[in-house]
Amino acid sequence: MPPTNPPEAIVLGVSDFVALLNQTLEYAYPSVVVQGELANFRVSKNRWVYFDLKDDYSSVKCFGTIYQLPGPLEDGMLLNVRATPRLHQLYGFSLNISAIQPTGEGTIRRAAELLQAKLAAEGLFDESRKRYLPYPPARIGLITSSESAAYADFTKILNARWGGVDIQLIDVQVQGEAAVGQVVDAIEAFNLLPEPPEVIIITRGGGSAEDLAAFSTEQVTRAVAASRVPTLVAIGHEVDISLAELAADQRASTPSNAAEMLVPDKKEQLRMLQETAKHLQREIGDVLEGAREQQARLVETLHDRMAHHIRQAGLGVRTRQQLLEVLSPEAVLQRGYAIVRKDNKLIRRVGALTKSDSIEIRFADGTTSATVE
Amino acid sequence: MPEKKIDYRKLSEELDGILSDLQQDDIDIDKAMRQYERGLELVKELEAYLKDAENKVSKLKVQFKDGK
Repeated sequence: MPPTNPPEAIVLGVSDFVALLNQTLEYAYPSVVVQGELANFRVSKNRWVYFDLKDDYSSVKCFGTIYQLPGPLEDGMLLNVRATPRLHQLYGFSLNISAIQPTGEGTIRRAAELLQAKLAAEGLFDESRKRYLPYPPARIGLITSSESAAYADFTKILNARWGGVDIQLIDVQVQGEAAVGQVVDAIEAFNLLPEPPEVIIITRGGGSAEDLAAFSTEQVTRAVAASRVPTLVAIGHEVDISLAELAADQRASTPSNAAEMLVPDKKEQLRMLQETAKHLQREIGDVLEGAREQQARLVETLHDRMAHHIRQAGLGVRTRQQLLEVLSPEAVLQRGYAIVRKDNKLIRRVGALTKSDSIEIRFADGTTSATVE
Repeated sequence: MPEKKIDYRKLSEELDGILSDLQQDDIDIDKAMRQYERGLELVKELEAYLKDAENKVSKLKVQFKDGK
């Protein structure tokens, strides 16, 4: 078979070429995740973000906005950049960023440190912002993955300890790229409910720094801090502290611990209620005893007052009796005076008597007759 | 379980209030008796809540902005 000649090359205008290439790129790579080290990071006009992503041999330019940043970044960090490759008609090839995820232990830690310093300076973690959680809450909003061990642990402990709680669950991805947006949306959704829950719980179990990364992003941390509904955040194990936990009103070390902090233990409460019932009995007993004592005191006082009045009255009678005794003629006779009568009439003056009058003289101890000379 | 909504926090606070009222030295005895009866009622209601109430989970569907 004779060799076929290559088809004649198609000549394209520059703009057509750019458009064709972008079409091809879009078809072949609608979205790629490229891992590399951050270099030449800069932000323009407080909005546009430019940097290079490189490894030992290559470097590609990346372009995006500050809204896609997971937090403050610095050169040297290892990033997973989700982006759409594009050829710009003037500035050449770049990756148009849709999401950035710090990766690798060192970078994640460093990114978290930078973000923590930034948000701490804004006061997001201040103790003075912390609110008390209602205890126990009647309605809670739970943000977690319904298939996670965290969900199972949380509900198991909650059910064992307490009842009557209305739990509204928003099922979210708790790791990976979608996690950040979903957790932020869920916090917002609970806050926007006509009757929001009394507390929002955000939880997931332990994992690698990368697994837990969503909960240390600026978006999730800010959403937790901005929630009007008080928050309880429990991410990972005892030792992992995410920024979302620092921004929360309360943090718990594990999902089970979150349930323990959220509600009391009903067995303990039952025991306390029985104590309270006994306490009530004692108190009412004291009140009744007090009333009885008071009544007894009252009766005693009444008796005392009556006795006093009677005594007073008796005293008055005796005084008058004594006065009467002092004033009586008998008493005068006792002191040695005598009463002179003539014809049964009391003689008060010498002039009332004449010689030979018969008179009667009464002494205290008797009466005698005499004649005036 | 009968659907009877009890506000545990509110009733608990009322019970605490009654206990502290009963500790007042100058409480009127009629009021004390009424408070005591109410206190016993509250203890019963709260006990019933602790024995019977169950948690209820409902899923809230949210349209996430990233479309997932």
